[in-house]
Order: sequence, then structure tokens, then C-alpha cells
Amino acid sequence: MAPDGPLDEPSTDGPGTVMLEAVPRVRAVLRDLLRHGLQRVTTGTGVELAAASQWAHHARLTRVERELMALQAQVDKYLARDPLFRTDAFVDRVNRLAWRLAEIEHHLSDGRTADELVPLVGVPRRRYEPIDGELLVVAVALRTWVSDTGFMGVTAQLWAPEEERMVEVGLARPTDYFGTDPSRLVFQLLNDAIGVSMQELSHGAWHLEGIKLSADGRISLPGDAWARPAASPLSDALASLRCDDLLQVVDRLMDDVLTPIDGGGGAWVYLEPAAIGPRRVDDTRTEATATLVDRRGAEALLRVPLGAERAQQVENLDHLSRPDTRPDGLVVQARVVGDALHLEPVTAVFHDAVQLKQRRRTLEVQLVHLAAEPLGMVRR
Amino acid sequence: MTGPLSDVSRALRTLWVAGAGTPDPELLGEVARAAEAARSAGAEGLAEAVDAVAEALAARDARALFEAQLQVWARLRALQRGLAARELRERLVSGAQAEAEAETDGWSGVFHPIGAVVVPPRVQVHGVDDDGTWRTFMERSIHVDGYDAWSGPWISRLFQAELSLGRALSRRWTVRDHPGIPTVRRWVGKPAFRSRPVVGSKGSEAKDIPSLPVSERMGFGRAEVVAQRDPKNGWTVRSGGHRVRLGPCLTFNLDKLAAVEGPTVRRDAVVLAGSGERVLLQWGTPPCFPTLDPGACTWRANDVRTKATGGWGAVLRVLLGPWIGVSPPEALASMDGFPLPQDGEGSGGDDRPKANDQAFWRQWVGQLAGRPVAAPAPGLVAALRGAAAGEPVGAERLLQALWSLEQGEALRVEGAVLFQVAALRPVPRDGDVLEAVLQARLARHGVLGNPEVRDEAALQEAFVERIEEEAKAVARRLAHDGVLPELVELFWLGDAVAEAREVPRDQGVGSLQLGAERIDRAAVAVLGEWMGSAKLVSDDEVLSFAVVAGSQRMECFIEK
Repeated sequence: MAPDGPLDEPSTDGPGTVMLEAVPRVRAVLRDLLRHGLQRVTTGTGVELAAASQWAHHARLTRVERELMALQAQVDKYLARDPLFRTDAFVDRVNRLAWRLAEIEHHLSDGRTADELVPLVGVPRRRYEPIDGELLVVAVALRTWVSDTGFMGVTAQLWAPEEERMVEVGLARPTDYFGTDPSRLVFQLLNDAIGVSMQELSHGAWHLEGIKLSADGRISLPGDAWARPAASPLSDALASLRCDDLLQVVDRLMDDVLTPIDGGGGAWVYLEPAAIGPRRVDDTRTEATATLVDRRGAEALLRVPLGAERAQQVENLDHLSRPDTRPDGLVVQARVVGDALHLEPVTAVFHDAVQLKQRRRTLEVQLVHLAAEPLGMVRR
Repeated sequence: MTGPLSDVSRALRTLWVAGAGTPDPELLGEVARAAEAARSAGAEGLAEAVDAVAEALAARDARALFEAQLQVWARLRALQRGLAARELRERLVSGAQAEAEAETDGWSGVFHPIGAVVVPPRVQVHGVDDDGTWRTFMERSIHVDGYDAWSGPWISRLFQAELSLGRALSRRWTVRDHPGIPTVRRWVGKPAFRSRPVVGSKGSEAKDIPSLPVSERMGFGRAEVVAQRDPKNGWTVRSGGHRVRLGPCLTFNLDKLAAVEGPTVRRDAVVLAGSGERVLLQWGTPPCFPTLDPGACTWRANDVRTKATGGWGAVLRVLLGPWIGVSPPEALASMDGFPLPQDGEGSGGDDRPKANDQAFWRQWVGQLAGRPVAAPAPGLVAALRGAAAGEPVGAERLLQALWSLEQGEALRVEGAVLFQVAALRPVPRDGDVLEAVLQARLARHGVLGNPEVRDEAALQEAFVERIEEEAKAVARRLAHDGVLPELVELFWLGDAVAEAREVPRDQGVGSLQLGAERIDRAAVAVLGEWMGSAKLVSDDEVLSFAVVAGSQRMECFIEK
């Protein structure tokens, strides 16, 4: 819970002091918003929020700045009588922002420095730190994406045993020049110097040398980086994500559910289902689903949103239930939404290596990445 | 519980829509009802927070109101989400059925390896358990060296680790619950997801292996292996009338054995019978693995020492001192005991009209043994001056002369001569490594190439660039099957690469990173002939051993 009561004299560093000065000013704007109420907001309110986001910007409160801008967009939506405006969402956003401000103020008053609060305040641009020596990574998942801002990309999720967390390597290209099919990027080399494609990286284990890593686990591959194959403790990597049944999945997500801010991101989970039902396509909800039954007999839905960039994933959902292509396990992204468990299947895991035929090549793999590889072309 | 939470949520929404400055007349009542509803549902904390909102509204305290509604929002959100998750959890519990049936158990026990068959990327390891049952582990490895699987890195799916086949074969494995397929003759295991063998610290036990019947088409056992070398067709290996698979590693080991035992080699071995051919797994006691380990068969150090006679033999003793047990002072004294032969003498019985280059090798091995070069060898300086006067002198001889001048620090004295030599050099043909290295060296000393470039750093940079290009060209040529390197070219290219990359110059060949197989094959062709005949040591053997030492392959030739 956010702290109440008067605050002591700040004992933080220089940037922390600037932040501490900005927090009450931003909070005062929110308080004004409550005083006037939504029914009395005007275009002037939007200007006030824009000014507050500038204060936040100069105080390097990046997340606060972005939330203020989003709040301004919601106010504009309200003023434009946009039917998609939701009062609950507005109240949620204002209070999430107020809660974040209270947390920042509390930590800074406790003497913590601005650098220690990066997860809370954010950074304008990620800082990548060079890694000494090698980093062992084991591929676990591969996702493709297309953004509203005109970019598409592919992101490999890798388990780093030494870091005991997931890290990721991404490739992104503008859709104006490269089209909107991100699955083609899978065959591109990571960079000109490393003769390893994204698809090769996303199977097996690798020693990465000369790389840089950001605090949130993104890997940068400079020109002098190097990748060489390593032994593949896939079972070790998946053991850290493993849940025996759906109950364990919900338990793992409980912290994420109860976090007032920055929650809802879900978790990577490895599951070995007892059965998977046939695929159903729901055009009304624009999603394809299949029932997953865990070893205790409990059920949850595997969901994939319909969309051009998800075509392969939707196609593969059909093959998850077929006896000849049914995997031994699944890496899913799990989230609790309301009172439902949402599982998005990302990787099919085979305990024994299988032959995967793709583009006139036959690979021997244990993972089939559902967003980019055809599960139907698997031969045991 | 959902109803009271909805009441609180609605009250909060009304507060934010109506505003606290001029509140909705019904807002206070709505907040009070929400507090009551929360209290009646048992959410006392939430009810108190809603009461605080009502108090702040009544007191028109904007600051307190903001903080109070924030607490309501936080509690409401936690309750809503927590309840939804608990509901989901209860649904999952009630929907659960009986536990799925238990997985079938795999094999657990101790595995004693007997041998391996490697056809990259496939690796099969054959062995027996404590009861003598034949068990095989097979995999498609991520990386395995097809020639030197024994000590090269083996990135194994089976072990899910990087190790060497030599380590795995010489120790017993502990296997726990490993899935596999039992067949009539054997049990076959593949890489498993949750189980991997553990290589123990204890050596593998010598198991009594029965003889393999001649007619056996599937199994393993003891049988005599006979290898015969025909000068025209090379090696033919048979066992019990069956052909035995012959790979590059076995050929290399047989080439070394032939030098000592002649063209027919017989061994009592353990072989694997398969479809149409047999595969040699191991022979001898303690067992060695000639199909996997290039160093499985070596020449005895005493034999090499005995054959190293005469002036060239003394040079060889200095070079091979650490491997044949001769101390550097003793070897150097022995070398000094032989007078330096004149040109045309002592070329090991070879009647080719070639210049004697023992002077260079004496200086080279002497420096390796710790004796600095005091002055350039007069014979080499004379050869250099002859080349400047237009006499036909080979690139190798000139490289030797340059090396001797560099080490004797007399390069400046012969500066004019070098210019004349450089002016007479032909344009190097593609593939003429010696000429290319020589001209790179001359350019390095500023007597060839762009006359405007005299800066030491620029000259060194150009030298490094040319030598690296030549090293890449040699690697490209050797990438084709069947191409054997010229050892003399490797020696001088390795020397230049070592200087360019600033590694010890006697280890330059190793820094070329060429495939060990080609170097072994090229060296054993020269050295095997010498070991198998009464031929005296010549410069060819010294050079071959120098290349072998430089590529760190000596333990594949001379016993450890």
C-alpha cells in the first residue's frame, strides 16, 4: 500500500531530488481532475496534462510522462464523445498513476536513489551493459509481431541459466519496406557479422560472446558479437517455467494478479497437457481456441487472436490435437483476465527430436515455434 | 461478494464523473450505501476506506479525499482480482479428475562403454551393463569432430552437455530412469528429455567380451582384424571375411603402424557386426580406439631417438627433445659435435641437386632450445647475395636467409642486397605460397611494394593484411576433399602468421586453424616412410616434425 502521512526530508541523490519536486506538482494536477470531475473537463484539462507530462519528462519520470500522455488521450476521447471511452478505464488509469507517484515518493524519501527506481520510473532509452565473457542461452520461444506504429518483428525468448531469467533477442523492420509478414524475418541473419539466423538461434543452446544486455533482459548484438552452439539442457531451461497443472499456473500468476500497477503481463509457463481438444474458430470474438486438459483433468482454453500475422499460429492450433503432430509439452504465455485463464500457445515441445520440414530444408528439432514454423510438417 | 464490490465501484465512478468541488447531491448517500454493502459482505478494510471517502467529502478536504479514494481503488482492485482468481482456482479444483496414469519407467543401471561409431552428426556408443546386456546410446549430436572425436569437443544431446568422446568412453556411466527401446538383441536409448547419463569418475571395467562368430550379422564381439596396404589401392581391412569400415582416423593410425610392422597389421579387436560390414570398436590392453583417436597408435620415443642419427639426426634430437627424452643442453652439445656439411652434402641420400640448409635448421632448433642466434649463417647470406646477382635461388632458401638475418640482427647490413633481390622476384602465381610469403616479408622490410610507404606501422599493417589473405586462401584450398598441404608452405606461412598475430613463432601452424586431418596425413606420408626404412634423417623429416610440433599434433605421432 502507498504510504500515508507527512514525509521526511529527502535524503536521495540529485536526480531523486528533482523527481521528488515533480511528484507533488503532477499529483496536484490529478487532484484538480478529481475536484472538477470528468463532466467539467475542457480542452484546458488536456493542456494541463500535457504540461504535467513535460514536468515528468524533465524529472526523468518516463513512465509517469507516458501515463500522463495516455491520460490526456483519454480526456481527448471523452471530449470527442468517443463511444470507446470507458469511465472505469479512466478511473483506473488516474489511480494507477497516483499509486505510482506515491510509490516513487515513498522510495525516494527512504533514501533510495533514482537509479534504483528504474523499474518504477522507467528510462527514456534502454541502457545496454556489456557482458564479460560468454552468456549461455537456451531457446524457449519465438514470437512474431506487427505494431501499429509500422514495424514488424520477430523476438526469440531465451532462458539464461546464469542470469536465472528470460532474455530476448529481436529483429525489427519497417513494414513500409518489408511487408507485414514477420515470419519471413525468421530466416534472416541476426546481423552481418554473426552467421546465425533467427531460426537457428531459436533452436538449441548457444554461447553468446561480446553481447550487451539491458536491465529488462534485452540483448544487443554488436558487430563483434559471436554465437557458437552449446550443449542443450532444454529440460533444465523448461524446468524453471514448468507447472504440473493449471492450478499451479494460477498460483504462479497470483502475485501478478494482485499487483496494483505494472501487473497483468502474465508469465511464461511450460505445461505437459494430458489432452488438447480440436480447434474452434470464433469469428465474433476474432479468436481461435482449443481446450487444454491438464493431468488432473482440469480444463482451460488455448487462445490465439485471429489476424493475418497470426495465420501460422492459428493453423498450428489445429495440429496440436492431432495424434501424429501432438507435442509432449507446450510453452504458453499465461494470464488471468477477470475470472478466466488465458493461455496463448507459443512453442510445441517434443521430448525426442523430430524432423521438421520447412522451405526445402529438414531440421531436427525439439521445439516447434508455432508463430513461424508449420507443426503439420513434423515427422517423428 | 460481486454485488457489494459493484456498489463501491459505481460510487467511485460517480465521484470521478461528478467531481469533488461541486459533488452530486446523491453522492454522499451512494458512498454510505457502498460502505454498508462492503461491511455486510465482510470486506471491513474496504468499508473503512469508503467511510474515509465519505468523511473527506463531508469535510470538503480535497487532499484527504484524493488519498482516500486511492485507497478505495487499491483495495477494490485487489479484492476484485483476488476473488476472480480464487473463483478460477476453485473451478479448476472441482473440474479436476483423477491423476493421469504414471509414466513408464526407463532403464537404470551402470553402463560400461566398449566403443563408438561416429558418422557426423550421428554418434552411437555401444557398451554393456553389469549383467553383460548389450546397450546402445545413439544421437544426432549438435557437433562432433568426425576425425578426432576422441579429444575434440562433442556437444551431445544425450548428455545435454559438452564433453569429449574420449572422456565418455574411458569411464563408466550412471544411468537413471532413461527411456529406451528394448529389442531382441539389445536395448537402444536416445537423448531423453528429463534423463541424461552421468559420466563417473571411475574408469570403465574391462568386461569379458565373447568372440564374434564369423556368420554373425548383428552384434559385437572379439575377432581378428587384418589390415593390408597395397601401394596402388591403399588399405584394405577385413575381419572374418567381412569388410571393415575404414575412416580417415583408422587410416592414419594404420599408416603409423605400417612404418613399424610392415604392410600387414593384425590385431585381436572388438568389432561391431552390421549390415554388410563390420566396424572396429577397440583393440589392445588397455583398450585403444583407433577409429576415433588419431593418437591411438604412436611410435615409441626410443625408436625415434634411435633413428635420429648423423648431423640431421642431431638437429632432430634438439627439435624433439621434450618428446624423446633428450635434454636441451645434451641435444645442443650433440648437434655441435657434428661439423656443418657443405652445400650438396648430407641430404639424407637424396640425389636431388639441392642446397644444404642445415645451417638454418641448426639456428632454428637452437633458438627453440634456448640458444640465441648470434649472427646470420654465412651460407644463407651467400645465397642471398647470389640471388641479388641473378643466380636462381628458391623462395624457401631466401626465406631462411631472411629469417637468419632478422634473428642475427644483420638486416640493415644487407639492405642494398635485399633491394636487388626484391627487384628480381617474379609476380607470385596463384597458389605459390612461399613466393607470396617471401614478397610479403620483403615488403614488410620496405624493399618491395609502394616506395612511398615507409612508416613502420603502415608496413606492418600491410604485412598482416597480406599474410591473413594468404592464410585464408590456403584454408579455402584445403577445404576441398583430398587436397594435402605442402608442409614447407605450412611452415613458412605459419611462421608469418605467428608474427602477424603475435603468437610464438614455433606454434604458427597451429594458429592457422587448419584441419588436423590434412596436416596428419601430409606429415605421416613423409615420416612414415622414414620410420619404415633405413633412410637417414634429412631436412624433410626435420621440417615435417617442425610442422607437427607447430600444430600441437606431436602426441599423435610419438608416444605420450
